[in-house]
This record gives sequence, structure tokens and C-alpha cells, in this order.
Amino acid sequence: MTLEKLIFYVLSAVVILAATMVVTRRNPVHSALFLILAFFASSGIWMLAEAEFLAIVLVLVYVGAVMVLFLFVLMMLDIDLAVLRAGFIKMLPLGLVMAIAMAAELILVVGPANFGLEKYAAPVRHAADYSNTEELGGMLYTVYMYPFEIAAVILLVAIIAAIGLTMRKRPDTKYLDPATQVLVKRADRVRLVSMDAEKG
Amino acid sequence: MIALSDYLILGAILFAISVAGIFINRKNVIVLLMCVELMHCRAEG
Repeated sequence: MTLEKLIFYVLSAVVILAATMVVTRRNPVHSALFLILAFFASSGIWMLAEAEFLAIVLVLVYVGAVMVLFLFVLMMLDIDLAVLRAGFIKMLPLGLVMAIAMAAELILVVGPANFGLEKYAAPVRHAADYSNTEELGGMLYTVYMYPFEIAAVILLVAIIAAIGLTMRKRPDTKYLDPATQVLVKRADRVRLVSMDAEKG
Repeated sequence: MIALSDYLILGAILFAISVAGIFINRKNVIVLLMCVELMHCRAEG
């Protein structure tokens, strides 16, 4: 067994263990922390596959942004653990059966018979100064320019849809129309009163 | 050398774990979201 394989198996074991912990822990904060561990280990696996840019993006985006957001929400909410425990045991057999069936099916399809080293030879290792990011950028902005722009437009539509879904009239908000605010004259708000000074 | 099938099998196992997580944690929306996140991360990889 080469060192490369050893690293791969250790990282894979960490990812699978962490993922199992994510779905079985009762405390959501523990789940979130295990998910962070899983992301770090997957990032290591991507690094092993020479996808350095994606590995760093995984850490920056998932660990840095998404998981911080998750933890933030978890800490803000007052979570009742007793309610969360309900239904755990009841659904466990069904979940296990589904998982095993799905894993078996997927492994039959993607296993060594169809995607082994004989079918797809391992790619040639690049030199140390090979820039993965540069290659990715070059492809993205030349060959895949059109799909890239389509993806950008779809994301824009998603942003607008998200804003549209959350924009609703709330009767209890104190909202002022800016147009009426601008139209206000001094005389509407301020009244000058002239009165005599009091005699000491 | 690590075969392509090794990466794909790892992805398949993690995908199955997150599907099981969705079944198990039906009451817990936040963990549900984390399972979906895990699945998404695997699908990307």
C-alpha cells in the first residue's frame, strides 16, 4: 500500500465517521461540529486529487460561511432536545434499510468493474509549479463562458425570487413612505411660539 | 494510484448516509438541512 492510498483511506474513514456522527447525534451543535470535520477531511481528499482550488473553496465557503451561519442559527434558537429525540428510533430501521440499499446500488454502478483503474487510468501527476486555479479560470472564462453566464443569470433570478418570497406586508411594521417624508414642509412640523420671558 | 471508483464509492457511501439522515431526523429541520448540505458537498465532489 502506497502512502497516497494510506492517506486516502484515513481521510475517507474520517469523513464517513464524521458523517455518521452528523446524522446520529441528538444535539444539533455536535452535528454541526462533526459536519465541519467532514468538510475538512473531504477538502484533504480533494487536495489529494490535485484539486487544490476546490479544496480551499470547500474550506472557505462551507466551513467559513455556511457552517458559521448554521452555528449562528443554532445558538440563536432555543432548541428543545426532548422534541428532537421523538421519532428517532422509529425511523431508524427504515433509514438504515434505505441507506444500505442505496449504497449497494450505487457501489454496483460506480464500483471497480465500471470505473476501475483498467477502465479509467489514473491521470498523470502534474509538476509542483502547476497552477490548478489558473487552469480552472482559463477554462471557465473561455470554453465554458456561456454556461457560466447562464449560471450567473439563474443565480440572479434565485436572489430576486428569495427577496420576493420574503417581502410581505407586515401590518405591525412602522413604515413611512419616503415620498411623503420628502414632501413635508417646515410648517407641518415646527410651530414657533412667541412668548414673554418670565419675570424672575 | 487511487482509482476513480474509489472516489465514487466514497461519494456513494456519504450520499447514502445523508439519505439515512434525512429519514432519521425528520423532526429536526436543522440537522435535516445539514444532511442536505453533506449530500450536496458529496455530489459536487
